[in-house]
Amino acid sequence: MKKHFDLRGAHALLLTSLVAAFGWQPLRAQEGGAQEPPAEGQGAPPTEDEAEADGELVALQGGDVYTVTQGVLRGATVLIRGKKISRIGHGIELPAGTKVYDLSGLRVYPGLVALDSRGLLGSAGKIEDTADPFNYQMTLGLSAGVTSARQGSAVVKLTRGDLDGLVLRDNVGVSLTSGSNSYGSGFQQRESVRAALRKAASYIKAFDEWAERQAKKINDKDKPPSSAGVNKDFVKLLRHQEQAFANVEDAANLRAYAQLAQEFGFHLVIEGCSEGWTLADELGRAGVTAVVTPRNTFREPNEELLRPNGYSIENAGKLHRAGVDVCVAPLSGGIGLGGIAGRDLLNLTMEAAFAIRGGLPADAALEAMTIGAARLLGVDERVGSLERGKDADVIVLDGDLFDYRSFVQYAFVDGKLRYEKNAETFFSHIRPVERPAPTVVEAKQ
Amino acid sequence: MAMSFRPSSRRTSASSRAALAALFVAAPTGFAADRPDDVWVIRCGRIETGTGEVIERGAILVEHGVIKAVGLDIEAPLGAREIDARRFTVVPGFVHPTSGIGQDRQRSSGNQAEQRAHDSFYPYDEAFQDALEQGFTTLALQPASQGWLGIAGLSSVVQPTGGDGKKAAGAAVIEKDVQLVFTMNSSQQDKDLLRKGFEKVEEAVAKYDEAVKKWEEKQKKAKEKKEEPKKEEPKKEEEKKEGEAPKEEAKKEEPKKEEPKKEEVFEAPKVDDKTSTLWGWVKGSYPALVRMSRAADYLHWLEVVKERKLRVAFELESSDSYLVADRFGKAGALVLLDPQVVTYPLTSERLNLPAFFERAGAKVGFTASRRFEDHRHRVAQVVKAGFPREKAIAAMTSVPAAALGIDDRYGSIQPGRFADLVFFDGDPFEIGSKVSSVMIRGQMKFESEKEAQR
Amino acid sequence: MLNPLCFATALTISTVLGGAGDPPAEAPALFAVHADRIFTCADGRTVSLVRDGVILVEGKRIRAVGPRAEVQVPAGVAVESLGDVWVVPGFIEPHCHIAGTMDINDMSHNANPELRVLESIVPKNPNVKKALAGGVTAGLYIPGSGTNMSGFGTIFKMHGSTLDEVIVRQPGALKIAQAGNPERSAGDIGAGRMGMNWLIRWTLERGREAKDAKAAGKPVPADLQNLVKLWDENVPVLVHTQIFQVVQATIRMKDETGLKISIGHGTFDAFLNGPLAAERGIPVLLGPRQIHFDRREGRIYGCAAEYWKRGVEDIGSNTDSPVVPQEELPYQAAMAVRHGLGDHKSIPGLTCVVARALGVFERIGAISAGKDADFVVWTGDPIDPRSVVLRAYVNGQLAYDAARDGRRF
Repeated sequence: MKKHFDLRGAHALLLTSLVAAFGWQPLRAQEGGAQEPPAEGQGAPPTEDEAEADGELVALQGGDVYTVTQGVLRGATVLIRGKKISRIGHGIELPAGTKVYDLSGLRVYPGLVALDSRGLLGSAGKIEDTADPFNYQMTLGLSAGVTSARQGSAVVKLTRGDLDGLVLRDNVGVSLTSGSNSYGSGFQQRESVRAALRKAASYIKAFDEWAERQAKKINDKDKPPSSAGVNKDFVKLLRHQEQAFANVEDAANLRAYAQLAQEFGFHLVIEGCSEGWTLADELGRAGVTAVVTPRNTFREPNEELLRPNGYSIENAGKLHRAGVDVCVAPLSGGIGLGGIAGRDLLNLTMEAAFAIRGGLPADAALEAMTIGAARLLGVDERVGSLERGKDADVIVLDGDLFDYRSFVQYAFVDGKLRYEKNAETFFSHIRPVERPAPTVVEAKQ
Repeated sequence: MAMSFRPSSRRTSASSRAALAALFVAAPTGFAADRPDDVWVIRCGRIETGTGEVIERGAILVEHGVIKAVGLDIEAPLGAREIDARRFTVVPGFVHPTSGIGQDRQRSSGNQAEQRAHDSFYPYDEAFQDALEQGFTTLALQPASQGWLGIAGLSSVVQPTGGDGKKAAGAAVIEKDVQLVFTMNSSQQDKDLLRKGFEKVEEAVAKYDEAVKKWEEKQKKAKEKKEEPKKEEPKKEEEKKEGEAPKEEAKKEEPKKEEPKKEEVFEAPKVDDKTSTLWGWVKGSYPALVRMSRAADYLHWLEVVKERKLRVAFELESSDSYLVADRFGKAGALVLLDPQVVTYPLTSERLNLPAFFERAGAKVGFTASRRFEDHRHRVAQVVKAGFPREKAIAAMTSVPAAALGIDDRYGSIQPGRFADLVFFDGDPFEIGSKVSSVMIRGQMKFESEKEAQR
Repeated sequence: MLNPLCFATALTISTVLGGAGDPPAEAPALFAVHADRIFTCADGRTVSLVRDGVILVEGKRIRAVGPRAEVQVPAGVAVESLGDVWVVPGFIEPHCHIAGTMDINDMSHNANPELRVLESIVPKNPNVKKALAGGVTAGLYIPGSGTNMSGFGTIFKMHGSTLDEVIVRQPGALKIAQAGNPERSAGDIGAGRMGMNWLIRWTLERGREAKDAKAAGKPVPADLQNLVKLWDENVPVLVHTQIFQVVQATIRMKDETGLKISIGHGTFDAFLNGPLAAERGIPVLLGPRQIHFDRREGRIYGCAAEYWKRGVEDIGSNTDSPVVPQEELPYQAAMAVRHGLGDHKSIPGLTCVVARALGVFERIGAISAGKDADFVVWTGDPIDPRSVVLRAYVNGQLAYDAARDGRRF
């Protein structure tokens, strides 16, 4: 039998170029396998042996590494193994097979944590069942340096191309301004919330006493206190297992909420907080965290009022100086491409730049975008800084994070390259920075 | 018989006219499967078997509508008649794997697994004749013709009947309940349909196993009483796989057969029709067609099916599905695509989607639109743009047949397959080539020459 | 084209009028400031950096600017050293609606050359006060784009108590809107593109006829008096125009009328007309949309960068405030630069380029001798949102002082 075809030659060359242009390679690499992440030891980095067995090796070499929690290491290396950061420092010996990105002249930061976001998952509804990790909004989120984001009550990671690892955690915080736990503004409502908090507090006390008796085995018939009618959310707040969230702008309500938090000893996150600067000391004493949008013109200052009031560009700076942990949210948590630039999540860092304009120190602004936001969302064990053992969520920029000209050149999430500016259509035509292709460390002879 | 074929540059012989005449004279009209002399040897110019194989100057032995042999040295059995088709390229009849033609039921949503496509079949849609004339011999009959969502039910398969002047042209159902069809979008609703479906199947299986166990114990005790050692029947499940669909009736019947005592009958637990349909798929009695529109849908699909081994083919919309082509490829998945070069979302770059999937390692089959006259040329465009020519015929025949789970009987020129053949007067992908005649189960259902005379 | 001639005439007239408007008698106050960096924009096109420079102000005007060694500061005048700061000309907003009340969209006719925003100006309103904290000292206040020709705007300053103090020129510019908004009023001619272009042509032509009639000593109808000025004084025309095809119509309007036209907005894919605009020297005043997402290519283009790439040199930015807050005007330029515009184009695009486009460069848009003393002291690059305005001088007065007034932005 003879086979012959003369039409065979017409292979589409364009495909190869498309593949290159669309960054197929990183997506392919993701198939590598779903290895378990290394054990998350509290403060104990994985030993070399443990790490040896685990995942692909990627080295980000020669950039200035802004660890956030451990200072800046100039010209250092971040070694990623699988999904985690394996080592950070100078003179790290790279095992054979390590894929090496030469990042000299670039800056390496932890991926940013967005406190609020919309549309990054390309869908609405139950995240696990609807997320579209291929949608371009997620790509744009990565282009903005965002690698983790709060989406509704969940915190997601922008694991572009994968559902695996996408949901970082769910049920973030207890809202005190919406839903059944609202502290509201009316007297009655406030009294009922306070009553519920008192009840939760006495339940905790009774429970702990019971637990103590149990430990000593005083009485076999001793029963735990009834939890009937006890607000479980409030128990979590008072046990510091969860944080309270409140969206409050004006001074009077800010004071009321801060006092509540101080009185009952829970941690309060205030979003909005426009007039926070007018009572920064009080908020500082209450130990709150403020999520500030520097350009939020909630209320123009009214010069006829005797007290300071209204919006202030200095809000973030003044709160910071009073000991309030400050985080920054953009004017919009979505990414709009209608044409008006620089006012939403796509330029998250620019909102922080305005906070810096208002007096927030640059390092505090960096924390606000990273570890501060991660703490606020209860995910700081995993993300928010470049540290050994943490998730390998890393962004690489061609300049300062807060410079309006800087672009994210690479974004890694869970150790995989998810975004590369030169390989995507969105911004590759703007001031392209030529980078050498990654190399692979060869085995020693 | 004056036929106006394009003069062929290849294999022209003095006997060509006679050969043509022989082909068309000898071809019977109407079904005659039972005739003892219904044995034919078709001498072909070129055979593309639909499996990638090409046989120059080969022959096909057809007995009672079924292909018995294909090759270079086919000896005609005694009494066999010969068809001289040496001027023709012969390919398997094309298979349209996602057709809703003839389906009266239009839409569906939610879990309607119990729906059977043939229950609402209208056989006289004119499109069947169009399909036939373009070489389509086998078409899916999906359980809803358009706008279906969720689990739509079981597909059947139809074949065009052709018309004979007295009888209207149309199609007839030839295989029932071959394939489950459903959509799988990245939505909680679609995922829940499947998740709950799987749960119910698992429950039903457990109940069934429990009942069988009880029954066997009961029988054993009865046997012990009688001291009459009898064989048990642990193979129930396996036997059922061979059946077409696991209907309740079927389950009930089996124990009946093997049970000597007529008064004591094994009562299988009741299973609702939706669940039994899904059950049939889960245990592999028939495949499913999963329709997806986005790359993300595939990830959600994987998330739902987990470790289950399921027989599936995927129908993909162009959208961004190329982003998971490598994953389909690694899994060696069967993927049905519209034969076209598409534009990437958000770019002006062009992408030969079928070639892309093929290169990634997926088995690619083509879906067809209602515009059958364009189909071959659309495939030709994709081939021109890089889809391997040697896989193009398979993508129109054996691969879609495999998607329907009927490739052991349809979709290729191999022993054991129905003699569904298309005779082209040239390369099927040449713009000037045309379908000269179409044979279905050994009978000429369309002959362009006769059609021209009519 | 009439343009060069008209421009020259306008210059002469303005200069003469400007001289006549000076307050008499009292000797104007003198002061001088020293700064590490002074960006003068004196040539009308480039930033022209003066290191270690001094600005000498006399009354409302700048008497001298230059390197410290070269500026002759009269005896008795102290030179205040501002240190390591950037001093730049006050930014000029080419398209805003915040100089007064917001009732600036009379929409009973589709062409309203008889209207002017002058009547609704409120000096020192909160928006203009904040504008100073963004380094913006002047702007073109125009009616909305609800109709094809919505009236005449006023070029004004962000500081000053009376209208006389505030107004730089009245009429400042004619506002024309070609597509994008006028369609929203239903039914009448002007709701479609053919109709609106005809209406604009016809109305402008009536103005020109009235001008000729006036020259011949005939009376001018009240509703055409502004248009006569437009033709007589070469008042600039700011056209609300965007999208490729609409901007083509704008360029045709330039060819047909020779008026001093600027492309306002100019967004979406309109930058494809860049070469045509460049050829004719039409300024492009972009904003508030600074980017264009091409869904076919998946690219995010900086509009300013794309015009620049196509040869347009006169590129400015606007906020269309309150669409984008007035104080974010420099941030508009930041976005233009972020998305590909050359760094060196940012400051001129907020100062001298706009001043030339609006025909007021003889007074504002640069720090040079004879110009109004409108300049702003920044802690650093004014385009960088991290930089802070320490002071804003308008007409030689310290209009905003962060230390004195408290930070407004």
